[in-house]
Order: sequence, then C-alpha cells, then structure tokens
Amino acid sequence: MASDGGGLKIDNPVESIESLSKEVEKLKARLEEERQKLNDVALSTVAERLDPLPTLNIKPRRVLKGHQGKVLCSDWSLDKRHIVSSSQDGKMIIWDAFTTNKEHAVTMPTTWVMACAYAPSGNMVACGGLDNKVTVYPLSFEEDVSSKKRAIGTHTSYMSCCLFPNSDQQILTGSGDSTCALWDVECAQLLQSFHGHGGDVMSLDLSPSETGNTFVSAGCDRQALVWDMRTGQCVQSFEGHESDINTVKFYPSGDAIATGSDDATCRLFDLRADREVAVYSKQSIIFGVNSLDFSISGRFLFAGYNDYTVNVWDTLKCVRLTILYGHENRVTCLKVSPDGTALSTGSWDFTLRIWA
Amino acid sequence: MTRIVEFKGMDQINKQDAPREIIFSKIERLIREMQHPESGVPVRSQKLFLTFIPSVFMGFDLVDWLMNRLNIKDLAEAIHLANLICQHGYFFPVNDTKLTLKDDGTLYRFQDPHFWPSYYQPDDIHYAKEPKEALAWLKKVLSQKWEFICKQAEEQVNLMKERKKSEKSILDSQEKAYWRVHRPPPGILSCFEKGPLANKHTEKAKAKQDLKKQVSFLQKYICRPRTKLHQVVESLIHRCELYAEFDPFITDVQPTNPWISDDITFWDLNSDFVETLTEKRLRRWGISLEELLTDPMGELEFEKYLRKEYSHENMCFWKVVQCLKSGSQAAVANRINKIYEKYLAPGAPCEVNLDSMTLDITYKLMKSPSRYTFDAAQEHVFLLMKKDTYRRFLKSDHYRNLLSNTQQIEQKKKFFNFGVSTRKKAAPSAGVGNRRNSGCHRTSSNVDITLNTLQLSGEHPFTGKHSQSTSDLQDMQKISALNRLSSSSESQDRVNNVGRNALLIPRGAHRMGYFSSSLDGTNRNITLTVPQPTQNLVAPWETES
Repeated sequence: MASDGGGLKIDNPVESIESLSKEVEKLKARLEEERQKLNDVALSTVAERLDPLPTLNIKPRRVLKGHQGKVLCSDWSLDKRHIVSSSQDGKMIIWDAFTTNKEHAVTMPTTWVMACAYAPSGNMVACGGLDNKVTVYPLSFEEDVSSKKRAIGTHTSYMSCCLFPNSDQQILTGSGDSTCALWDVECAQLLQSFHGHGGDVMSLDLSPSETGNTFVSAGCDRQALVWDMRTGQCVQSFEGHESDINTVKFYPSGDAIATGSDDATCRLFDLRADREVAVYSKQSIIFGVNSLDFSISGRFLFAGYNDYTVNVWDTLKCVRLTILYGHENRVTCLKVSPDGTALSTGSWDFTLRIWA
Repeated sequence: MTRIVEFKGMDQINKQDAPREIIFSKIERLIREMQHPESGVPVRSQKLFLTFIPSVFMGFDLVDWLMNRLNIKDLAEAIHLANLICQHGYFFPVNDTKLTLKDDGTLYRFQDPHFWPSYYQPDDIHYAKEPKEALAWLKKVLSQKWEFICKQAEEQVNLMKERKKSEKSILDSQEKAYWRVHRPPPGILSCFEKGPLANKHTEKAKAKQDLKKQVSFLQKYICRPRTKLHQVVESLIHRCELYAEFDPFITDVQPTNPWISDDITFWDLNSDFVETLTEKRLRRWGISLEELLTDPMGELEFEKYLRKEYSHENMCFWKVVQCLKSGSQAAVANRINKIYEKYLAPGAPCEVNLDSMTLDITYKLMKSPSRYTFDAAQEHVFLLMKKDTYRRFLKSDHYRNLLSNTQQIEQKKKFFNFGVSTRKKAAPSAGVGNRRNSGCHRTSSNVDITLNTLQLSGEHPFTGKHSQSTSDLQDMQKISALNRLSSSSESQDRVNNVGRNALLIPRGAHRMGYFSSSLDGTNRNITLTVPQPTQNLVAPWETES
C-alpha cells in the first residue's frame, strides 16, 4: 500500500506491534554484542590477587520486638541509631535501636504498609503501601504523630518503595503501576514521573554521587533502569535476571548497581561498562532474594532471602563468606546503618534484628 | 504398585504463577532426584521389632545427599535447607508431628505428589483480574480435585480388594502429614504465609507507543560509550581497598563498636561537631572533595580555609544551589532571583567566577527557570573547588595543623604500642568448611602484623593494624575484646588482668579518656597482656625524633 502524495501520512502497515517487537529483539541482540566486545576480564578472576578477608563474626546484637504482623520495610535514621519499621498490621514503629525502646508507634488506616523511609533531618517519616498513597508523618513527642500526617501523592496501584532523595522537601516513590514519581512534600505536588518499566516497580535507590541527580529502579519486568531525575528520562537499562527483581542498590562509589531477584541470584551491573559484571549464586541457594545492601567499602554484600537467612557475599571475589541465621521466617528488608557499624534486618517473624 | 503421577501440565502453570511457584518447582525437581532408585536417597523398609515400617529414609541420608548434590560444604546449611523442604510438606517424620529434619537416624517418608503444595493448596483463593483467568483457575483446581477424588476412590476399592496393609498405612501417614503442614497449630508461623501481592503483574502487554519508544531508545543506547571491563574492575577493587579502613566490618572501630560493647564512645568521638577530630576522620577528608563536604566538620574547616583565601563565595554559591535543588517547589522562583542577584549578576556582591560558556548556558536556562537552572554553573564551581582550592587545602597549614594536633593527642597513647618487631603475620583462620563452629573473632584486614596474644581458650590470634599512623587504640580494642571473651557480660569497664605476663601501665594512661572505666577518675592501674616474646621492646617516644 503506497502512501498518497498529498501530505496525508498513512500509518505504515509494517509498523505493527509484531514487527516492532521483532525490531526490539533485534536491537537487544545487537546491544548484547556491543557489550560483549568489552568483556576482556572477569571481576572474580582479577579479585583473586586480593588477600582473603578475615573470618566474619557477625552476631545478632539486638532484637526489636513489638510488631504484631510481618515486618515489611525498615529504614535507618541518619543519626545511626534510630530505625523506622512498617508492618502488615498497619503499624509503623520508630525505635531507638540502640536501647530497643519504641519511641513512636503510628497506626495507619491501611494494613500492609510496604514502604517506609526516614527523612534526612530525622524529623519526619514517610510510608505507604496498598493504599496507593505516600503519607508523611512529622515526628513529635508533644502530640500524636498521626494528627499531623499529610498525604503527598497517590499512585494508581500499591506503593512498593519510597525514599527522600536530598532533603525533607522531596520524596521519590516506586509503585505497582510500573512508574516512579518525584513529589514535592510541601505542595504535595508531582514534580516528575518516570515511565518505562514493563511491570511493577519493586525497589529504588538513589545514586550516592554528590550531584544526586540519578536513581535506579527495578521490578517485575526483570529490568533495572537508571533515570535522570531532572528530565524523567531513562539513561541506562540492565537485564539478566530470570525472575522479578525485588531489590536494587547502588555500589557505594555510584559506579555500579546490585540487584536481587526471585531467581535466587544477586547480580552486579557496572554503569560505565554498561553490563553485568558479577553473579552471586550457589546451587544450594534456591530461595529468592528480598533485600540487599553493601557495607561502607562495598566489599561486603548482605542479602536477605526467603529461606529466613542472610547471606554475606564478598562483592569482589564473588564468593559467599557466611550465613546469618536467626530469623524464623523470610527476611524482607535489610539495611546497613549510615556509619556502617551494624546491619538491620526485618522479617515476617514479626521482629527486627540488628547485627554487628 | 505405587503410582508415580506425572503432572505434565505443571510446568506450564508454574510459569504464569506467582514466584512462590518457582520455588515449588525447584524443590520438586530435587525431590524427584531424591526419589531416584539408584542415585537418590536410599528408601527402605525399616525393621522395627516384629514389624516393618515401609518406605522410609533416614535423616542423615537426606542431608548427605543434599551436601553431595548441591555441593554444600557447611552442614548447618544443608540441615537448614532440608528443614525448609520438610516444612513445605515434601517429606515428614513418621514418628513425630514436628516438621523438622534431624541429622541422625530418624525416619522420614516422602509425601505423595498429590499432596505437594504446588498441586493444590486448601483455601487458596486466587484473585484473578479477569473472568477468563478465574475460569481457567477454577478448571485447574476442579480437575485436580477430581483426580484426587478418583485416587481416593481407587484406594477405597483397593482396600476392599485387600491390598497390602503397608500401602494403606503409607497413604494414611501421608494424608495426616498433609494436614499437619497446611493446618499448623495456632502460633506456628508457616512457610506458606502469603504476602500482599497475590496478583503482582509480571509483564503488561506493550502498546505500540511504548514499543516505538523502546526502539528509538535502543538505537541510541547501542552507540553509547562503554568502558572496558578490566578498567572497571580495577576501579571497583580500588574503591574497596581505599575504604577498607573505614568499613567497620573490615576494620574494627575505635574504641569499640557501640552495638557490641554497649558503649557509645565511638559515636561521641565522631559526632557531627566535635572539639577534637580523630585522625581517621581527617584522613577521610583527603579522599575526595565529596567526602570532605559530607562531613559537617569537614565543611566547616574547608569554609574557614576558603575565607582565608577570599574564595568563600564559591562554597556559598554551591550550597545555595543545593538548597534550591532540594528545596520546596514554591520557593524556587524566589530563590533563583536571589541567587542571581547575589552571585551571578555583573557586579554582584559575591560574584562567582564563571567562564563565558557556562554563563551563556545559565542565562539561557534562566529564561525557563526551574530548580535545575544553575546546575551547569554549580558543576563548574564544584570542579573549580575540586581541582584548585581543595588540593591546596590538603597541602595547607590549616589542614596540616589539624592533623598534627590530632597526632599529638594520639601519640600520647603510643606507649601501648609494643614495638613493631615482635609482631607476626596472621595465619588465615579456618574457613567455614568445618562442621564445628570455629568461633573466630572479627579481625581487621590489611594485616601486616599480628598481636600475638595469649591463647585464651584456644582462640585464634588477633590481627592488629600496623601503626604507620597512630591507630593504636586498635590494641586497646583487642584487649577489651579479649575481656569480652573471658566474661559473659559485655560491659566495657573492665580492662583487667587477663592472664600471665601482665604489664602494668603507668597511671597516666587513663587521662586520655578513651576508657570509660577510668573516666570516673579513680587511679586504676590498667593491665594489659603483653605478646611474648618481648625483646626489642622499644617505646615509640624513644625512637621518635
């Protein structure tokens, strides 16, 4: 079918969904070829020259009991000792993890609060989940924390993750509606939205570089996407997992990202080489990864699994160093404290544990 | 004749199902291998007095099989995995109700595939998005139920034909085990707990628009510049090596990790604003300008220096643009004007030095003002500070004075350093492969020397950091770690006699205030263990010029 000469543009029939999909596949194959060209050495091989690390002796140092439902998410305050945690019972608790005292307990109108975050100032927390909203709670000892709460933004599906990118005035969220969004807290306004994922977004992380303009998100489409916060554009994309990605974190230098998935592996993708550089897996690990984090130097990768354990990996040598037992159900959230002195884990066994 | 039912349709169903089903199919693959007559777990009839217990295997056989098959070196890991598989209902103990697997001769039996969790879950209410999906699911469940009913009926018929008693008892036990798995007693957390996302979307169908976008994205993306792996790998390694001394999981913090010792001295010493800086903290400032500015004290000291250099306006500009970017949306317009007036307008009070290209870009951006208007200018200023001012700061008297002040304080504790020559290199401790816990203590890396301590209860030697710098508090911490070893409570306030060869340290030591024990002012002699042998013991102040 030829188009007519009168300026009318007829949709080229070749551009059907099928042909476009084929084009996408072809381009992806070419992309892999390009990436392969620079594959001259493996991380684990080069890392063989490094001395082995001394044996770790990590033990649970605190157990935070108080939730009456599965703990779904937690976050450290920048003061290195306070933690906020949210759970299936609709409660959000702010702990002084050092003394194990509960300082605030907020009951939310919904159950299954899947995400929570501490603001950098330590004076505010944000959370959300199946209610599709992100709500902030200014913390105060004088009055009821729930009284001052404000809903900042709403997605069209559940909110899976949130964080404060630079200050108390902005919040970044990821949602089951497959988008991420940047909100202004004061005006409760949407500043930027990020479209591109083909499935639910499960996790977010902000780049540690000083400019703080990029972040990474990952989800059920098995992709990790790096975004420019200013323009809303996707700048890099990574594939490789065989199942949903549940968690993503930046390597402390900001040059790489680690992802953890239901396929029971964690992977490291380097941003400059634009490819996967390491896979952290073992035959005996068959349960999915829910959450992971790096130690300060980046040498240790801590990952929480559905088999109730935390595996500690040597990021460079790509070997598993040790297993941390203690939880009695799946580990859902894991974070290293801001000064790197401890590791917090939250689980479906209703408790949080601090390890050091 | 026992029936091994093949569920050909199972794989298809599993792919579409939630991730839980992925784990079921992984475990089921293992179970099928375990049930292989030759290479699997040995299943037999166990003789018990005058009767036989049919079709059982022993706990340690399963554990051994797992360790071989999955290349597991650690016994605890194999047992943990076996326990999880048991909790999922794939086998059960014949003489007990608790769903645990013991690494001994306890007897277990495999569960009939009809009772596998992937096959059918009682009251598994599936929330389908569309009626078509719901119908498909309903069909699947009903057909499974029908198969099950048929089997039950067959068993009933067989019963009437007087089949072997043993087969009946097997099926009986399997059915009982099934209900134990899926109807756990109250208070027990099951491994079948459900999350909130019963209907997580895995992949939505792509619209033409999205596909077109994807095509153009990929076309551009293919051409992006990429770095070779060997360079990238070196840089990743370098990061770890550079920060190893600042990583509490590699290098112990001084004096102790608050989470371990319950003593917050470490946090006090490193809080945002302190009187005296630790040497480590000052060293960290030397890594990069970003590190310097992340530390509030670093920012403070850098600003002091900038003021001396009359280039403080760069820092102010940088900070104020950060505020603009991370501030509230409502304040943006106002802030932009203020910033322009103060820093960028010709003849402005704190005019920053920008090249003409950056100025052009900035003016253009100002036409459509946003929080990112001054990004280019900010980057330029940051680069200027990084390449010029920051470098000079590190070489400046200001910074050097800070360092030497800290060093003087830390040198006074140097007499705890028992001389370099007596230390030996650490032997790498036993790996995780032992069936017994090696009970090793966390030690620091970058090991050149070992503090060869007394072998208290057969512990492995501690490794200490060689004091090129003056981080001798590390030794303190080893001693207190030793104390933690020897007593049950974890309080910091005993740095007592720990054995032979105790060396009494003059009382001056406690003035340093790094021991919470001596802060109460009592004149307590602090005793430390001395590595043996102690020849060539030279006090550092005697060698220092």
